[in-house]
Amino acid sequence: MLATLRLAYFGLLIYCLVFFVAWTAALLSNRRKDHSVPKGSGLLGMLSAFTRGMLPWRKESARLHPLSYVAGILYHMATFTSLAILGFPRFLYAGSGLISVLLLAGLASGFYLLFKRVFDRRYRLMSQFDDYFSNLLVDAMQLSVVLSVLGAVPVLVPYGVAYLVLLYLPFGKLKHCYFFFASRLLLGRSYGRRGVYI
Amino acid sequence: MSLDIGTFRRMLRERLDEELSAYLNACVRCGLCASSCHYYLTDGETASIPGYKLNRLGQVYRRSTGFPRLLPRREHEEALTEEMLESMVDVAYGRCTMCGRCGFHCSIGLDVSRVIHRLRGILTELDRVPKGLGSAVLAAVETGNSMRITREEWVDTVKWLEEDLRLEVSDEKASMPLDRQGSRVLYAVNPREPKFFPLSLSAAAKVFYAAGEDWTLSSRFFDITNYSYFAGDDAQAARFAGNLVSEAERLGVQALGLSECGHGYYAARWHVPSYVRQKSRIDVLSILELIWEYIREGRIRVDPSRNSRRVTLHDPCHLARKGGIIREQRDILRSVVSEFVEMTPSGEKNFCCSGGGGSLSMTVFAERRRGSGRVKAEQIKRTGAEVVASPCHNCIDQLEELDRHYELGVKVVTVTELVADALALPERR
Repeated sequence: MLATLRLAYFGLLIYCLVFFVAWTAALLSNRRKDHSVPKGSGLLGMLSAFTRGMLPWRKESARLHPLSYVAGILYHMATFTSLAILGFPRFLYAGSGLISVLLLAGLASGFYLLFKRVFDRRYRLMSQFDDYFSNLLVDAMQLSVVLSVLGAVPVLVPYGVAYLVLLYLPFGKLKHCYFFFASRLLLGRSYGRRGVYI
Repeated sequence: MSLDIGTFRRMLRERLDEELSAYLNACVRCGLCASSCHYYLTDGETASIPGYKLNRLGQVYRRSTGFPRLLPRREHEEALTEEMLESMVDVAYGRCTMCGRCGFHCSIGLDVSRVIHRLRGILTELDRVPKGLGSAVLAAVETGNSMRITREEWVDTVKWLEEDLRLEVSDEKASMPLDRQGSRVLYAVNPREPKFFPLSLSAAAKVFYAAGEDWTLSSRFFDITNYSYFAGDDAQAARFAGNLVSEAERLGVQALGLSECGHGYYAARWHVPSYVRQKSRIDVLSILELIWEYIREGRIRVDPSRNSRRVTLHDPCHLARKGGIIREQRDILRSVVSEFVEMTPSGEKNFCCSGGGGSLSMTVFAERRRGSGRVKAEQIKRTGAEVVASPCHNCIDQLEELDRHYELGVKVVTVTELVADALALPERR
């Protein structure tokens, strides 16, 4: 049964990959030739955007919001760990204690970010259904993986929730898992050409 | 009154390049960009959060993507209501100067200023551009410059300033040439200079004289401002920038030298060639690049003791962060003033003074402009400087207003004026 669940899971990962390829093609087809004479390097700009520009003390979004930043990091680590576990479930049983702690920390972070959105009026006003739904979907995946690790629910449950996450991914904010890289590359390139490194 | 959403979507599709697509899809509405925006820092309103502003366009974009509809669209999803359009005008023109600061600090890396520029373009096409900004564009279309200065007035001003220059440098041969063929540099100015700040133009002329520069002004096209860029009207922006380039070609000069104007430099140097698919036909240089070249090569001698007061620098967003001119003004100021002190933060991370994005021309948002300028006023106060140098005439207007409004007690000048004051003039040629 696990083999079948995994097969379907990888099938859905390929389904996401198809979207990634389609999005890449769409971005490339909309590519705008930049005729300005560069002052710096677009390549270095892209490199800088993913290295120096990611350092928490260089970004106010991290420096001025340490709690949200740490919560965001933990949340993403837990999400990718969940996805990795479902792809390669042997990991699940190899280090279940550590993994459970990470997943629980990620889950707590996810709820913190959700509560912030719900209870802080400023963020609530700028939020949409997708923001709540995506958060809850990912929370549910992390929770079901933790419960599965602890043997509290059958393995079918985390796979079922993960299928929903992957199915929804191309249509909501979860697609930032692809567009994050595209945006940062483009921002870095654009500024790098002007000799400004993020 | 509402607008068919299909019309809006068509306009959006026409502007949808790779960057806009990526940014509109990537925002997670985390709101952490709020603390990087001078509007939000001073009013604390959700509408001032950059992510919120981006999503005014994002909400329309997403309506044309996403899940296939299982249910028929509701009425409000088929049309943009007047309220929605007004909200777009409010955020695009009244709560964003397109300074680009939030993009630097965004956890994802979204250039919100690029999105707002595109939104402004759509609103302009819908005839929703605020009156003052529209008037500045119209003036440039009708007269070739945004302040409706006639050719006669311009030429008279140059002649008058030329006489002053001769007296000041005690040299009858000193000149401010007009339409001289084959010079190295065609110098273009912000029309505020001939109109309100002739000393800025005099200062540039004095520096060119001291450096022995082979330069000229044009009697036809002299305006580097580009309010069409602010209005998001790329085609018109290209025409304005193209006027200067064509004039440079007509006069057979090697480079177009631009006076201290943030957006004018950005539009001519980066925006028009990048976003209007128009190749640069001529070198475009800021006067700061020219002056630093003169100092570095020993073509002018300067005495910093002539500027003995403490000087700080305000970096215009479109010149520094978005334009890549960051070191030059610092190297120049360190050479020409006795005490130079940086603001915190500065350079590419500097805060906007809130006079950018065409906000000075939009009187409807004047109160908000002054209010959001508090961030800059506090920055200036903390430096303890007596003089604020800023290489942008729009910024200077705003900084002077902030000086009065927040009682800062500072003098606001261009960098070139400080250089001219520090000049050790050569012996008469």
